[in-house]
Amino acid sequence: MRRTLPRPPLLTRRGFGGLVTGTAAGLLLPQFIIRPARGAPQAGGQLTIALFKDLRTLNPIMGIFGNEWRTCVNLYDNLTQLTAEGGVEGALAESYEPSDDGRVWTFKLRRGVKFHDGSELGSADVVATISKILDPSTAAPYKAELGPIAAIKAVDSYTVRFELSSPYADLPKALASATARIVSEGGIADFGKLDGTPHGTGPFVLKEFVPNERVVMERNSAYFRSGRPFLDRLVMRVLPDTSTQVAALRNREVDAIADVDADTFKEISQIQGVNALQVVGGTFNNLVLYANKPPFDDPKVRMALRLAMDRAAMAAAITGGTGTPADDQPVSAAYEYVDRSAQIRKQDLVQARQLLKEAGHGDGFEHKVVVSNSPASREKTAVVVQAMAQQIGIRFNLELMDNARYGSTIWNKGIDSYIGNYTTRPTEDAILSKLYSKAYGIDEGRWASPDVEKMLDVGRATTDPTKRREIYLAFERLASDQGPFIIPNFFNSLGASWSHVNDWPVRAITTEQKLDLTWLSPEAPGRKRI
Amino acid sequence: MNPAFLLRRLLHGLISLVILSLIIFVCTHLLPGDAATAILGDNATPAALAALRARLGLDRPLPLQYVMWLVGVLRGDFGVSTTLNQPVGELIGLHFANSVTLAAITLTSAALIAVPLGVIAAVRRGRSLDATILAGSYIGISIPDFVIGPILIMLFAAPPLQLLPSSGYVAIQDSSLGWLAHIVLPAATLTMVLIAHLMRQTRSGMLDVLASDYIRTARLKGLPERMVLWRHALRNALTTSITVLALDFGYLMGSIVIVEEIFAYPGLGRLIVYAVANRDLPLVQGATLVIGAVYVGANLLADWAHGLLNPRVGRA
Repeated sequence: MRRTLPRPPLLTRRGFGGLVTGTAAGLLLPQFIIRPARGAPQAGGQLTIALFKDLRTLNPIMGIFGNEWRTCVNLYDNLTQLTAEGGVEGALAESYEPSDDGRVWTFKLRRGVKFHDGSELGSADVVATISKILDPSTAAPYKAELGPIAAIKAVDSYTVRFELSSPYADLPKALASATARIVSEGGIADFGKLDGTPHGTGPFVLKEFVPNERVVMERNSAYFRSGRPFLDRLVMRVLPDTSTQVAALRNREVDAIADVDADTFKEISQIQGVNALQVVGGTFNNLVLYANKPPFDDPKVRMALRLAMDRAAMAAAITGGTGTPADDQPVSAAYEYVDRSAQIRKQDLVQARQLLKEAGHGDGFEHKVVVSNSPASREKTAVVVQAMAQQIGIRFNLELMDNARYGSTIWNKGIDSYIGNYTTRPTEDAILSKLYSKAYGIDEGRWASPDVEKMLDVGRATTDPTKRREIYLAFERLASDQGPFIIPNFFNSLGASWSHVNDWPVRAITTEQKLDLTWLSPEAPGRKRI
Repeated sequence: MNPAFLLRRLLHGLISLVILSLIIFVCTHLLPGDAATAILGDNATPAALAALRARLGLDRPLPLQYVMWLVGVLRGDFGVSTTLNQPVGELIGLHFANSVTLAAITLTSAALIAVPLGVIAAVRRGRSLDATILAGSYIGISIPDFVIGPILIMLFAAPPLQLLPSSGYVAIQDSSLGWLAHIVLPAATLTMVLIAHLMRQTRSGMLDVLASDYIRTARLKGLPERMVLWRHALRNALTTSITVLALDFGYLMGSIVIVEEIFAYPGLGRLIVYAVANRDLPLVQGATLVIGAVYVGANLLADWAHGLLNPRVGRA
């Protein structure tokens, strides 16, 4: 099966729906979709969005949930931002460049940018923000994914310099991530209040925040991209029940749903006038097979299990047609450096049984797998993998567990196998280093070796795109053939909005939904709400 | 009403609350994971965990943590939520007010509908009206709230009727009409759940009373039937209903998570579920204490009401 990626066309739901059903699992999906605008954008109105589940804090540095990132991206800006095509460009930074050895990066800031608290953006704000993230006592959850930053210094009032402990080509992309939103120096000084009082430069300013209930924002008339945003008001409501979300969308009480699951997606796409959109995503569930513990310490056993998987069937069963088959490595077609023409491994039960026999497991074996109850995709993945493995005599005993208990007793503890859950990252390195490196990540499958670390180090340090491509493709091949995970599929990023919402962005990283370009058609109910 | 009796009940209530808080504190610590693991998610490296625990004060000895919390509560300070970083008192206050409003509306409508129905069913015992009311209550008891809720949404919030919003909450000071519109469906769902329950209790209470000697005496005395029923019988039968209502009030304050989720209603139940899932101990402690106090308070109120209805209670 071929995974191909056309350059992003603009698709409507109808054209798109045909595409999905017509090609089954061999999806031809665009990397991003922005609804085609009908005429010139018109300012004004209120956009109401349904969010699912927890929204605890508006502190960008401490957020870990999608809703928190999704909210903060509209209140803050980063030095850089990812383009819809997966590249990177300056945002608060006007320009940036690395030193010849890639160890020092210099960022020039845009002038005249105002924070919501009235202060003007300068290098002191950037230094304060990044230093706070790097400070170990902050315990910023996503600190490691920013890369090997050793220090940050202000060169002058509008220039900052990142000094790295090793060369890092992805720094501009990493600085576009959710954790690296730029907070004013005053905001950092009052860190404890940052949960409810944003100090950003973003297109919207906060009006009201009730944790786990709603966020109300209004247009930032002083936004540095003049003329934007188009919306007067942005309301995000937490609706914890998916059937309530659908009812609210159907009744036009909300204009869009930010994070749609596969089952709901099908239901929503049947509502007349609603655009159900999907793009290739990089979110996945991985079955962790510890490579330092029997029976999966034997590469033959891991390969036998891989060969038992019918990936097209699994992707269809697990994602309900809203995903793509994967090959046991975590870099999807949503990333830049991936082999789009690679063949997905075919099921081969004969060879799988043969390998098991050679490994001394001719009669198969039993193995415990712990499955957290959240998100629900973990359970689906576990059941489908179990069914596939059964064909060659590997009997997985699934043990369901509350997510909080799983998080503190099972995840990454090196004892029982489990189903992990990871979302799309800004860079290949972020997800690869996290899962495979002991030095920069968690080495989740206990598979790291000097060779593995070296490949990742070289990938991180290389700036030449052709060479980086070679390195990452080689690593992905290696991880796919020998690595410690079963990854049967990637989940598409799904979104839904009424047709009166224009330029509603659906991205591979679903949480990077900056709504400064989104606008409402004249018939939108949100034009009457204000 | 004997003040010493009430005072004694009040003291019992306070002791129960302290014991409750201790049990909750110990139980929450027996659960695997803490606020630090919940906040860090899949980035919980040992170093990050240690740093965050130090910042949140989770590295202090447990007895010290409990005593500090208790002293705070006695001073009216419920602490700060570890995951939301907001004063627990404020968070609970907001959700408590929402839950009380919903509970009050639900109980009032349930009582207004269920008590008369129960009395009628008891009086018409064995007749077709009784059978109809009983059958209706069986249906009410057997349809769970998570079915009634979506059915009401489909009927009243979806096209073609679309009379009411499907979910959410509007503060009464922002728009009293909006507030009312948002509370109708959750209150109706809960009322339907409670009616059956309350109606059956009233009916059986009434039947007991109707079979008692003093009612026979009243009838033999030649009192008109209406007076026998409403003046003598109902007054005594209501004691059962009031106890049931008091317990239901406690139930409505904390156990209606499903209805709160369906209608995205910001009540105490959802707050507690969130707090437990995220191991937010100050929030769990504060919220359970408030719900415990509601149970104690509602029971006190029920005792007092019993005393009014039946002067023999409370003299002991």
